[in-house]
Amino acid sequence: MIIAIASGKGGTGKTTIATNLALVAPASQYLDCDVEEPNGHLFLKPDISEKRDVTMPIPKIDEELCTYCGECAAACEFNALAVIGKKVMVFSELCHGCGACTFICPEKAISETTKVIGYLEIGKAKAIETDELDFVHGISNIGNPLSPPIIKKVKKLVKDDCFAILDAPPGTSCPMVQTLMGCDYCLFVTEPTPFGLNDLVLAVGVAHQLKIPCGILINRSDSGDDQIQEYCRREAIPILMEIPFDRDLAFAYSKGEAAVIHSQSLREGFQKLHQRIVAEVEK
Amino acid sequence: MKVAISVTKAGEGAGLEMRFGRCPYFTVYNSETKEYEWFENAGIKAASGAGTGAAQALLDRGVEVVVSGQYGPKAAQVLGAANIKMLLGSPDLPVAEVIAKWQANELKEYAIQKF
Repeated sequence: MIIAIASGKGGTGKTTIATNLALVAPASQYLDCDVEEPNGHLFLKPDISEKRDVTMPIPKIDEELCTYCGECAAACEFNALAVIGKKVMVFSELCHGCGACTFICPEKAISETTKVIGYLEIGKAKAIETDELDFVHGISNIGNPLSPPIIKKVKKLVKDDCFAILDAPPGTSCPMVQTLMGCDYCLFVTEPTPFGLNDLVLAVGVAHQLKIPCGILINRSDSGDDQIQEYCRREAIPILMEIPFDRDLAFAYSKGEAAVIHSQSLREGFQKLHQRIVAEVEK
Repeated sequence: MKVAISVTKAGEGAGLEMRFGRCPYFTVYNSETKEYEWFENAGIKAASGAGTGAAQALLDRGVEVVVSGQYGPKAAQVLGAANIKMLLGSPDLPVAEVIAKWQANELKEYAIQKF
């Protein structure tokens, strides 16, 4: 079972929810897909046992064979190649690794070499009721503009028999879509503010488009207004949990500690959340 | 010699557009025939690489001098590698005046920024 924890608006509590859920759910696996800014490790404190580079194919020009016809530059959707007289410039930071240039070159002068764009770290974290939980996160190298290939590699490590929790990046652009694709369920974490609602509506639109069933968790539910509840009623989207503002929870967060370790009521709350998600998926 | 200018629109009343890669149109002035060619910049719709694409389009037309308001680092790399002269003009300056200033050698040359 693969569950994405997403939000639309950033800073609503995706990682708080994803890590706490991972700590209480049986046979869970936590995968941080927010590869531009992964922070789940701060709360789960995993022992990392393995590190793997993530690479992307980029073109390499054989100047012996190249006739500088310019077909590669013309074929490139991302303008990553420029042919200047008797020189081919490759802008690897623009390349999406699609292979069109290699395919189109009439002289077979283009081969593919790899470029490291980030890495994965794999390990185990201590869970609460069960002994261990699987931990994976992807990290994009500084300056790398393309995170979806790293997210894809993180998702390849999802274990079939696990309750896999994907901590999604915020927003509704490619990295978030890449994370949601193929999931069984998506839990949107939101806050009761106009900004929270605005971005939630956009994010729910993505889930509908991908035909992924979704539910809502309202964080800091006693602040703001009740527009989220009204929206969920109108759209018939279930609200799976509401967490009121709690100073102790914020304090634990600020120290990098998971809330379920300290609070018995939150632990039970997250256990219930896990059961509700499973019930929603099996519906 | 062919001079390209990034412009705000095509034809009459066009002025200099400050952006190179993301300008809506280019005009190419041929100093021998004294004619202007106008064309849309495909880069305005490109998700990425607008600057390299625009530079390539000008190279393919045999341009030797470019006048714009600013050049992005990748566009400047392509134009620089092709030994294209990059000149700077002021915003909305009418095309005829850009050409007059170029002919009078009054346009400042763009210094490639090292990143």
